[in-house]
Amino acid sequence: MTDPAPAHFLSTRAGRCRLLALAFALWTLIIVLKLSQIMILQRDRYVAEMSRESWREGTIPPLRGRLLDRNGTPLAWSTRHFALIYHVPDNPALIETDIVDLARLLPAIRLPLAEIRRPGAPREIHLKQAISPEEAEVLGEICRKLPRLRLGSYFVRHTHPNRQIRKRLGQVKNFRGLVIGISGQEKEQDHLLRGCPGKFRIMVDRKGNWLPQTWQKVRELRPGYDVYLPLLAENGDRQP
Amino acid sequence: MSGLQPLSSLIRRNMTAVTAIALALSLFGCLAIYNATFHLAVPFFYVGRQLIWLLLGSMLMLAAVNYAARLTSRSILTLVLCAYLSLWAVLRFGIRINHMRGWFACQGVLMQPSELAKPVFVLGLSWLLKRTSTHGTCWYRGFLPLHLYLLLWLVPLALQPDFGALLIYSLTFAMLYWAMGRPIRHTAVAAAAALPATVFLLSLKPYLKVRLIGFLNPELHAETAGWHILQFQKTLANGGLLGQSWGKGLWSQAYLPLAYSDSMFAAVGEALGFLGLLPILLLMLAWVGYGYRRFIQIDDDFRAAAVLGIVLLLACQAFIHLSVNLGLMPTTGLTLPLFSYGGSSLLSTLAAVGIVEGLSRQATTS
Repeated sequence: MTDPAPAHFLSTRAGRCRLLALAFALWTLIIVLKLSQIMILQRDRYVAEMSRESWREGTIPPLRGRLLDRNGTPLAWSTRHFALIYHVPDNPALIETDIVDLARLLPAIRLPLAEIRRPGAPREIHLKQAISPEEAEVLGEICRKLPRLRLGSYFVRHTHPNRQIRKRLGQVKNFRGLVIGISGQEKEQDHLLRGCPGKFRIMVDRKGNWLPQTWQKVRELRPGYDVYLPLLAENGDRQP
Repeated sequence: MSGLQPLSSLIRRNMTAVTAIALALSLFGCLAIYNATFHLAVPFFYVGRQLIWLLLGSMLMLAAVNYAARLTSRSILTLVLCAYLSLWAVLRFGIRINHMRGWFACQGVLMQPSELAKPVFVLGLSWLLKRTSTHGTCWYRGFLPLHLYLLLWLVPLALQPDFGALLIYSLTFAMLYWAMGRPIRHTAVAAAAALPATVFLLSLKPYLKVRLIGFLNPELHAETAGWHILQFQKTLANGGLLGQSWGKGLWSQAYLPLAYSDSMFAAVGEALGFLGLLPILLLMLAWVGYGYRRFIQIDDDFRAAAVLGIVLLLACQAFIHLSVNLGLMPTTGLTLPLFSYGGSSLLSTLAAVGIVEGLSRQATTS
């Protein structure tokens, strides 16, 4: 009598089941290796790519300093206002889609279509200025639906009503969100009045919407200094 | 108080370590769903619904533990018939979501029959495996009825089309068929026959081809076909070794599509990190080991096949979900059992765990 040959382990159900369990163990190992590749070994590469794709930087314009007479009476001062701003995209096809969306979302606003479509038009177009807080709440919701639409701020420079004084103070101009002096005392004292814009970075989603919880300050904003001029408001352009 | 007595007795009699772990994982899944959706306009929409499904699913699981041992041929065939007809009914009365007609909708509640039918498919298959066990090697009496059974189930799934479910049903069938001692040549012939069918399906549905192209080279198609795969990987990479903690996974909130269902593993990975994912992987592997242990303990063919089939079905679904989330497989719409959002998926998974426990308990008792 000889013993029967032992059955091959794959010919039994338990053997086959064991092989299946081993296959799953191997699958798990492959998953762990791939996980470690993505989450540990190549993490830096992915994170750099994500940062490039999803983080945007922006500036916060500073409040321009005041020009005061020698008694401290304001001769020129700035106030901040809010506007609904449309950021014109480079792609003309996108502009046309946006126009349709804008007309649908903002039926009450008359769109400056010619200006939006004009080649070489400014990249930012103010669709509505001097927005009240109540209006800002409603428009903020609309902005979420069209990421190129934003609520932004701008400054208006007010000056003393006296014509002579105004002439002496000179004029300012908005340049990329920054108010700069182009003539008179505004130009002469510009380095003091201008201030230093703040800088922030924020993550945006796939549609370009900001994720408010990711807002980070990169550089502190510094408002412009107030400058006292050697003149008196009631004297006009006369030297003291 | 007396009304609660049958319920507490049902819990006391049928709660086992495995059912308790399944419930704990489902609760953890609810936390993961909240983590993926709390930034939405209605933060409790998904998690609230999932908790209701979890409550119903727990009852179903405990009932399944209780009644699985009492399943008769008649009750199995009734269940199979109902589940199978529901797959055809959804083609006529169902609604279409993401190009797939796979859901019944009633008063805002969606039910996906292909999910609910999964354990029933395995029960029917196990019953058939037992019935044909004496003709295992015969092409006519062993191979044909079982493959015809599979084909009958795959047709309505392909018509929906629910290719994720189709893949799970086919894989579970192939593995169970082979594990139950059927000849390997049967599986080889069936696989060879399935190949032209797969090519035909690929040519019929262009989006499948696009997914395949995206899978093969995601970076080349970063803005189109490969976009989803890249987002999976970036979300996981953002998690790093220790994770970003709950609620701080920004990438899954802002970029990852379906972070609460089809992309659940990546979303959890971002929150928990590499080290946090390892226990989940170990639990999945332990589930397969548990199935193996139960399988070799059970003498009865039907119960052994049903237990192993359900364990393989859930394991396959979980492993495919993970592989898709890691870019190891092309994207398919498969949920992570117990974790992902979806009432049908949760009910079906908890019922399946209950059936495994019920049938295993019967084996241990006998």
